[in-house]
Amino acid sequence: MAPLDRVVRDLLGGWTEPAPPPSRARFAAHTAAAALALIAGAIATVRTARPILDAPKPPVLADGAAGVKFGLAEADRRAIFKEIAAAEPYGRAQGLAGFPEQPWSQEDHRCAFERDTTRSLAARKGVSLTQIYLVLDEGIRAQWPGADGKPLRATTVPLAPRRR
Amino acid sequence: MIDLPKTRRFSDPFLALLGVRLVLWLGAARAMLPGLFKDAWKLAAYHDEHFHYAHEEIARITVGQFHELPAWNPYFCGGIPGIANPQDASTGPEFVLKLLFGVGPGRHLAYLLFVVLGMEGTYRLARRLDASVVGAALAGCIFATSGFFLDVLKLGWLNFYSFELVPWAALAFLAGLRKPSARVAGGVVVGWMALMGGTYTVPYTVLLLAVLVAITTAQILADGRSAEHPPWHAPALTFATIGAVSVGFSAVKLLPMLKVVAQSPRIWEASEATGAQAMLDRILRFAAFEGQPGYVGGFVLALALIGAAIDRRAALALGVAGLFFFIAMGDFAEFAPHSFIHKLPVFAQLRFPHRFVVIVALFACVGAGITLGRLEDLLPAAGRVLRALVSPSHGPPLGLAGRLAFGAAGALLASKLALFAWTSFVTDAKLESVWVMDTPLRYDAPFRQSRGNRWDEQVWAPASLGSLQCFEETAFPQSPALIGDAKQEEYPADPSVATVERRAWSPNSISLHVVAKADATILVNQNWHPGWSADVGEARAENGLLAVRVPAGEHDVRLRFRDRYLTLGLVVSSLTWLGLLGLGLRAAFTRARARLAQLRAAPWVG
Repeated sequence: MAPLDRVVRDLLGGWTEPAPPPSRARFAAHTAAAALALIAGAIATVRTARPILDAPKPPVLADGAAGVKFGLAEADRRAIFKEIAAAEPYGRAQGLAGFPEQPWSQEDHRCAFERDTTRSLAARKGVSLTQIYLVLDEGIRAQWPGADGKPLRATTVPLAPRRR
Repeated sequence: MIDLPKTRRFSDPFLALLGVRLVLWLGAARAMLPGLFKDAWKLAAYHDEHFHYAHEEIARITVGQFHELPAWNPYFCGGIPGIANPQDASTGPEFVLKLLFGVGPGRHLAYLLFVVLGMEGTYRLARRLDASVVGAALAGCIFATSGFFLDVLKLGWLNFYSFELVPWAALAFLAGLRKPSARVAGGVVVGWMALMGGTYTVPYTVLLLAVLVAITTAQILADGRSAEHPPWHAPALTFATIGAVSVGFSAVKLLPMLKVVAQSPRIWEASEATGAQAMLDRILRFAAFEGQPGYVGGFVLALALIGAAIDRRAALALGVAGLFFFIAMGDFAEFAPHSFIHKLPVFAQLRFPHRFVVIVALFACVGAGITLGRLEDLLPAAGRVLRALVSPSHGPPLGLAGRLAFGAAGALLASKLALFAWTSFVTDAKLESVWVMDTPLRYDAPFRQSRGNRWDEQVWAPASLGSLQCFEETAFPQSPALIGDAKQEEYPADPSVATVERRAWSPNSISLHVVAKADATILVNQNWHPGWSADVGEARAENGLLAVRVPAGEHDVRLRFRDRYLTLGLVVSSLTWLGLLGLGLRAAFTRARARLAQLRAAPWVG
């Protein structure tokens, strides 16, 4: 072994050498260094992951007394549904215009407009997107009237994935 | 590539300890991805994030709440296969993080895990190709946080983070030329990719390994018989072993998925090409592209190019990068490599060949790492040249102090260059928070189908709802008779003949109490699939809906979903896992015994 190599190995190396270090003291030093490095790695891992693990958990929605569902009173729910329902004909028209011969894409396009409406409503009303969609589901299920006085369609168009 | 690293450097021991490297990788991840450590429960705005979040949440609910394998997913499209769905990633080992901590934090932790694995894997690959520790560390840090990974993170494609395992696969292949255990480890790595639904990662990795087989076989044959070289068939054997182990390891995902892919192939008819300049831009510029960038920065590419001129291994790394650069250019001409690749099985179902840029990024980084090592090596040599110039008689070789000084200066110079490359890279490509949308909230209620909306797919399953409106890359059949306002999710086709009451429900099992005056058909508001069976009567399809025909009388009917390919895959995978566990324990035991024997033989023992 070249002198430089030997000096470097003696000073710093040895931890990864296949043969054991040439003295008890060096073996102890190498083992301690490897253990310390592992402990440092473990501490760094915990510290790095902590902000992810400590993020506050989201609340669970529940029904309340006096017609409160998903944390919303019936009047609020009906108002939310009314706004979504009012926007639906526009979304359908846009879907039809954008994809005249592709029923699935028409429906998908309408849903993109519905997404914009629901997100905007959630932000404006200060409620979660889940609450907004739960209200939409409730309104469709209960056949609350849409913009034309009729219930919203409860069906969708079967999946037709794109090929290009 | 088959040569073992030979150069010993002053800087070698600095990153020799795994713990020290781990601290470095985590620090680099924090510097590069500060957004990852904020808003763990939130979602990115892009709808693909919602898609993957939702599928993972559905799998988490199925396993955590119902204690079933996510074989069937009733929450999307009116019911589609779960694990068999190519886009489902619930069999990936990192899914445990989502089970333990919730999908939001679990996804963040999984990103972190893959980034660290990518750094370590690239570091080891570069070291194997004789990069210095400084060069290898730079290669690891930049590849694992390159533009490709930042882009797919913003899109929510955690499944594409299995590309962080590609350097491990390449490393296992190179090590496997000599060590059978490395071949097995390579199989585990590729198997992990497949378990994550690596529809792109696995074929790309297989192609890379095939290229490595060609290079290493050619190298062995060209160098002739040599005691130092593995036999000529070692590359092919290594490739085959990695393939066999990966198939066994991931059979639980692979078998049901291949059945789906064979039944409903995803035909991608478009011909896609990217010009050379546009491809180069993807590597050199951190900007918004349609599709994925492979940004590693001009400095890294420059280092890789310099290395190719002065080092054989760096030239090989750049050669691999160049080959994949051409493949990534897609169908730009009739003779384009991708035009042939696109005709191969599986590859025919893939789009966006520019995604091969991730392999280009990996080998550009490795090439840059090797170059930094060579620059380190050049300094002591430069010292010798300098000395020869000053003392024409050449004099004695550099003394110990001189060599130490030049070695230290080399490592310092390489560190400075690496730091400069890293700083310019981070300044351009740092990821701030992309998680801006509130997490979906849980609402406990009996499961029912809703009209739904796939653009906010994350909302439905936690609220105990299915979304009939959906999008999937696979053409899963969806019944036109599904409804989003059913009074009951399981109901008689003719209400005057029978009544139905749900007794129990889980994604893979539905228990009903049926009272029928005559033979009756009971409809379930879910898609039919041949995996459904009934313990009373006969499960069948009615206009695409799951139905069961029951005889007159009072019955407790249990409908169950079973995917026999999944069952078979589970058996094969379980046997493989057990076998690997046994092999691993044996190898660890043997190594520990050998180490102990070495220690006992040390002069200071006893």
